[in-house]
Amino acid sequence: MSCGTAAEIEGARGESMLMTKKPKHDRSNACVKCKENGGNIVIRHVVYCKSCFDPFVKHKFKKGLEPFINVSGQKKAVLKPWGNLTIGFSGGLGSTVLLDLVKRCYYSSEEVDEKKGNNPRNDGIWKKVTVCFVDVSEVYPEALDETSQVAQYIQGSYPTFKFVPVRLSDAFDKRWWKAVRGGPLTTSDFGVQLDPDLALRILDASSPTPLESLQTYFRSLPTQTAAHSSIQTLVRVLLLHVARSTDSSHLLLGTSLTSLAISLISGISQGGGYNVREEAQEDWMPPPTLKEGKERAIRLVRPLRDVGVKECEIYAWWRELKVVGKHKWPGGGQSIASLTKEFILGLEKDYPSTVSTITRTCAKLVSKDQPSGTCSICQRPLQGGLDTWKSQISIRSLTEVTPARSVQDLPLSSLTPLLCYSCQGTLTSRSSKSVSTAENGATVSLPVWTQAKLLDQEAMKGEIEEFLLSDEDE
Amino acid sequence: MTTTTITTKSVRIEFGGGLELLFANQKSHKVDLPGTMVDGKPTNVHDLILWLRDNLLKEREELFLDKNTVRPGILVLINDTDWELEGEGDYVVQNNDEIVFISTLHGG
Repeated sequence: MSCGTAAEIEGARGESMLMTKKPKHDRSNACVKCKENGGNIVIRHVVYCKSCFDPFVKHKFKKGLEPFINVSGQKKAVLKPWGNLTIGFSGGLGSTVLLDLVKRCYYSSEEVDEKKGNNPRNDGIWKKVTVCFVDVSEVYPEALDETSQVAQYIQGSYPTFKFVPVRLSDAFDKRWWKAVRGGPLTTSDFGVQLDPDLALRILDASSPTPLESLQTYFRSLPTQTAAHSSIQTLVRVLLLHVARSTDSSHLLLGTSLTSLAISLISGISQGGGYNVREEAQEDWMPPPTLKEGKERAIRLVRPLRDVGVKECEIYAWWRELKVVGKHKWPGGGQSIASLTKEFILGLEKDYPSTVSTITRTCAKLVSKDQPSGTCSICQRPLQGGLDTWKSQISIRSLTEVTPARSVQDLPLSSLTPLLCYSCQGTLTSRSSKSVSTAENGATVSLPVWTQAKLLDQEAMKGEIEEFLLSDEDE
Repeated sequence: MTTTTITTKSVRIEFGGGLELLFANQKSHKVDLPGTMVDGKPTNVHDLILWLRDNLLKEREELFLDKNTVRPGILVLINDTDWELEGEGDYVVQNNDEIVFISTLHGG
């Protein structure tokens, strides 16, 4: 009996012994919707023709957005948000598709239902639309600044939308903070030492520029994973603050189903399981400002979270949309996010339904307890009792086992109690692939919103001034 | 004396989604493929992909190919139709076909 390979057996018998390929669709090649036209695209085993594909995507987009426009409890027959709209635009595929869908569904007279006429429900729901682009090229010197191409694209294709460019270094810029929030920070700069205790420091009076602060921050991060994660966090929080400054009730991001699955899995891998629901959608309450009026929660929605990347691709191709962003971030090949992306894309190719299972399962997860606050860096819910739990599960040193340290034992000037588990790991987690070029435990500046939170805590302020060491004292 | 006729197939290739960067930054190519391969079988899309690798691809082969087929995340359209409906790599290329390769390398 031959134990040869299929090719050897095939050669011997002159016939193929390989299993015949299963078709990638469930029934015939005809469109499942109209049942008349031949299919043009297969989406998770379902066949659509070109004519039926467009309304299919629009329906999914609206389903992912419209239920979340009104404040809970209000009737949904009329879409009435309390504020304006901000759209986060990265130049990538998802945000390009998102912009096009927003314009077509709510700001275009071209899309008129033949039977019903122009639906007033769809007329310019938000009074003002702002498109915000965050340039991240400052992190990598060899990356290109795409702001001008993006500006040209937005102003050419969406002239009624306001374009607001932001730089990643604005996260460390007091002038930007004053412009979006009102009121200056103190003259002191809080920094954090990137050691296991995350000790707070007062930085030199001669503050570096925002760009220098940003680059020092990223140079000091321990891993490529930490850098990638930090970029995502800073971009998201910058967008939230821009949305706040434009009196927006909604911030839309173009995260597709595939991208969402990638960020869910990679986020959980980095300890972000407590905020899994926020990864899909979140209501963010801005901290109080000097401006008059009560703050209202801004809803961050990802309307394309049920639209896979394949659907986005084919939509953009058939609509002839130009994708201006190239996103070649150097040095990210070995990060958790990159490895997860490879895994998910492979999974989507072989088992397309599995990717939507990931997002649906994560949407069902609910945390056991109420959050004890908000993380001062990522602005997401903070899990209570974190330090006690960490001290029970982690061993600091193999040579000496020290008694478990509770949060009371930490220096009062530590940032740790104000961070979620994921952000703590981002700043302190080290591996054999550590890439930090700075010395171990370098002191870096903190994002402006973190500094503002530190100042807002009146009781901590007095204790910090008593215990903090300035750089001159070391 | 016998005359041998060599048939070629003229095919239009389009690259989108940033994939054109790997092919001299040119989105559209008109190529002449051999009608049959060395083994006598008619040229199919799988053969086309390898032909592109050997003749047009300028850099970063790993961003286009994975184990002799297109990398996961690259969508292939044959005459505006998903190649999954046309038999994927086994589709026999016809004269004047338009084959599009679109990448999903971008984010959201």
